Amino acid sequence: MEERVLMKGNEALAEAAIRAGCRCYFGYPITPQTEIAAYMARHMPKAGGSFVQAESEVAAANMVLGAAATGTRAMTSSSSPGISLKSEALSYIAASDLPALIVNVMRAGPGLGGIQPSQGDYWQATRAAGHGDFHQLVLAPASVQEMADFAVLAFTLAFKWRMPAMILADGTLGQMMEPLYLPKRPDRTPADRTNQAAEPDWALTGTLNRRSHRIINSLVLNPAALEASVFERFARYRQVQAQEARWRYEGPEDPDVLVVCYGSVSRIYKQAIQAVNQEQGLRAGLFRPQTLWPFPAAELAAKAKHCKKILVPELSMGQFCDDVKLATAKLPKPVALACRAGGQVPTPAEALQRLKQTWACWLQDQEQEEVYYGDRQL
Amino acid sequence: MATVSYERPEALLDVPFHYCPGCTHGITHRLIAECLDELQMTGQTIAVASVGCSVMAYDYFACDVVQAPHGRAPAVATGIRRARPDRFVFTYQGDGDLAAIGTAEIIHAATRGENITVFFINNAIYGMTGGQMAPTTLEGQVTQTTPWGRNPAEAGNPIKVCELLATLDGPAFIARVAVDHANQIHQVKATIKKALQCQLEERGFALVELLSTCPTNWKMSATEAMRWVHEQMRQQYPVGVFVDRLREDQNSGRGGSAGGRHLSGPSAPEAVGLTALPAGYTHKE
Amino acid sequence: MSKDLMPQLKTLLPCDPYRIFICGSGGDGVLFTGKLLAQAALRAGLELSWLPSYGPEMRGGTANCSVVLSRQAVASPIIDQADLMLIFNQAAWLKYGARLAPGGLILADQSAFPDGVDEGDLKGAGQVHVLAAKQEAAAHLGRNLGNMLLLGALTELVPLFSAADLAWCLQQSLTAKSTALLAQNQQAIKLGQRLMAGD
Ligand SMILES: Cc1ncc(C[n+]2csc(CCOP(=O)(O)OP(=O)(O)O)c2C)c(N)n1
Ligand code: SF4
Ligand SMILES: [Mg+2]
Repeated sequence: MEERVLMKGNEALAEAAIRAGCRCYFGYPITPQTEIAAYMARHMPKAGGSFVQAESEVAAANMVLGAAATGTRAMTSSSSPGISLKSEALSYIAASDLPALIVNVMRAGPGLGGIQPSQGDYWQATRAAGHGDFHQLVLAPASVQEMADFAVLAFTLAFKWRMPAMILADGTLGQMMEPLYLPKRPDRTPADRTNQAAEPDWALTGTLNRRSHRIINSLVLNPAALEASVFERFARYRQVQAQEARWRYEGPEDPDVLVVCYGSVSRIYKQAIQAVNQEQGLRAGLFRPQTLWPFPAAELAAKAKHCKKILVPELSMGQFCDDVKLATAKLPKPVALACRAGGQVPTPAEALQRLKQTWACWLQDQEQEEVYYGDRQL
Repeated sequence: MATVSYERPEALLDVPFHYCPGCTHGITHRLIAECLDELQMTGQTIAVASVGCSVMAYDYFACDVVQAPHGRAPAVATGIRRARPDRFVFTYQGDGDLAAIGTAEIIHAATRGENITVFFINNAIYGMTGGQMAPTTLEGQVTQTTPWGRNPAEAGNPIKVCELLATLDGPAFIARVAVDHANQIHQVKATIKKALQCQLEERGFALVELLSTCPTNWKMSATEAMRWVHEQMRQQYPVGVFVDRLREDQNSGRGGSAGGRHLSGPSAPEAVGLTALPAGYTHKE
Repeated sequence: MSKDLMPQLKTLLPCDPYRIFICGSGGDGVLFTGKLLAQAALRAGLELSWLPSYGPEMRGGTANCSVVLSRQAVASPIIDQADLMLIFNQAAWLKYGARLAPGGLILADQSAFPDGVDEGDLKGAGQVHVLAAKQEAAAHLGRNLGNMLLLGALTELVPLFSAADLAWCLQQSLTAKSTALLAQNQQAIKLGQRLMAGD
């Protein structure tokens, strides 16, 4: 069996990306993800790859565009303010049907905001990563193990569907250490980078005068042609939605309260759910999407059918709750939203209180929908 | 009778600095504040704080302050100055802020000859984020992202901002000083003051680069850090005046015009009034 | 890991999850102390999480880290109460003291309680142990190894890990650095053990 190692989430992600064949890392320092860049600076050269500290996030993301165009596994990482600067390249990468990994270790915004954990970039990641009609895959790890596993998964899916993949983590996941099993080292050597057999049929590798030239481009001036390409891309997106949604459920089959959340918040609520389930009375379950795009909407609706109330805790102001409500719109079940912002993170005690509070509300009025701003019920 | 000989300048608020021991950000803040006092500019000044250790400069300066996105201070300053030509604007930017992510903004503000004053804190590192390579990091310097020392073949060469900007026709005053010894303080202050005067006289773009310390991320004591600026940084970044249109105009009897085109520039950095190398280190550690 | 170094799973968790909170200032080695405990737990086959405070803490201020140990996968790495608190100075005690769980254990450097321990402040605490750890370390080892001294003392108080466990982990994490440093750290652990035993 592989050895269990103890690593920070950021470092586990970086090591796993290298093991997944990533050979180009371009970044720019920003807290709380800088360990990824620092790890890559040390280890990427040893793997025969390239590390560049770019002059800005704009440049780093466009370096990824270039590397990805050659069929190389390339990535960049940043935190919220830096991700905004990457949105230009993200739109071009998606429009060029290129696979790439973008990591966002979210911190609190808007603006320069703070550096403590947040989930405030949910809309940006799932709705508007850049201008124009496109999607990116969005994976949401909830442990250091998943930080590593999803780095591998992100590259696999990005190459399978030829689209950018984002890992949407937060400061807690990036900074914390947990034991994990690292993905196996591939048998391929770095020299395989130049192995023609492994080269995708769209990659720009030079014609060597043996094939006609390839173009990677996002400019389509003919509206009919552009529309056709967008339709084609969205047909592919439908397949992604049908095949790639991932999620986890823990708890009784028919919980009274179904807690729906992702990332580090799910860890805190897991503890609270374990605590209430040991007591008599309220029974709670935890539904945790591992992919935020595609959103596991059908699976959530199926689970939610058997509950009485839905509680959505998030480190943002209802961004994620939008998707929960959309997914369960036909049921409908009353939804309570528990917001934290600014880098504030609920404690297990707060989570327990929220669970009991929302259940008490249901006992009084089965249709009530509450919103909590921290401890304050609106 | 006791006389007060050392007071807090009025342009600085009574707020304790959050800077590390031995960091020169504090000294530089004070010198700028003294000049604002002496030129009686504070009330008419709008400062632009950048992203870096000095981001909280907005808490320290008594003038109005806006905090700009990383690297964008010169663009924000341009906006302020264009909206209110009757106000003074200075930016306070680190080397990561000005010479990496903000390279485009500084070059274009300079070439437009914007009537702003830029204080450029070159400490050869990204201080705020914990010590990564800056564009100004010296060859061979170990940082978090150059774990074996900066290798120009991979990580590029140090950027000389003053020399670079001096090739443009826009700037009115460009100088580099070193905050590395007590005997430099008067020189540093005089240069800061001149850069502010430039704006008072509507001469156009002025920039002062200050060779500064970051003992924390250099992993040095305060004294070692000062010595390192003196012995290492000055080699790569010679102090001196690179552009001085005020002087030229005086010499040629011309008046100044903001952002004007100047046909002749100094062919080599003039070190007028600046000690290229101050008296060596004599104090004991 | 060679066979004879395989850990014996003799670690006893006083409760599950066992929540440890370590706090002090930047230079106290707070994060490293937590890391050693985390490594010892990993070696003992436990599940764990280690969560540091992060940010520009290098510019003074307090630093802290939470370590959660469990026999099952750790649910929340974020804790609001601690079963064990290691406290390195007064500022940390004043800021975080309220986090002690009822019946919890405090192991603190003397500087945390410069005016002595006030029983009134410690209503909920099960046990309080105060050692002149930094002072003793400075006097006998000439370095700021107060954190290692407290860890040594901890092995006498809670049957979590032995001094040998910690020494093994130290060796793993300090390999790159000097052997002299390693020896000093190990001495500090032993000194802490002795002080606590004679407590
Ligand atoms: C868009 C964006 N990218 C990255 C950051 C993170 N960041 C904060 S300060 C800083 C570097 C500051 O270095 P420098 O300008 O040299 O100032 P110093 O701290 O050294 O004084 C960076 C990269 C940010 N705030 N915004
Ligand atoms: S980290 Fe460096 S630049 Fe920042 S305050 Fe400390 S010494 Fe100054
Ligand atoms: Mg700097």
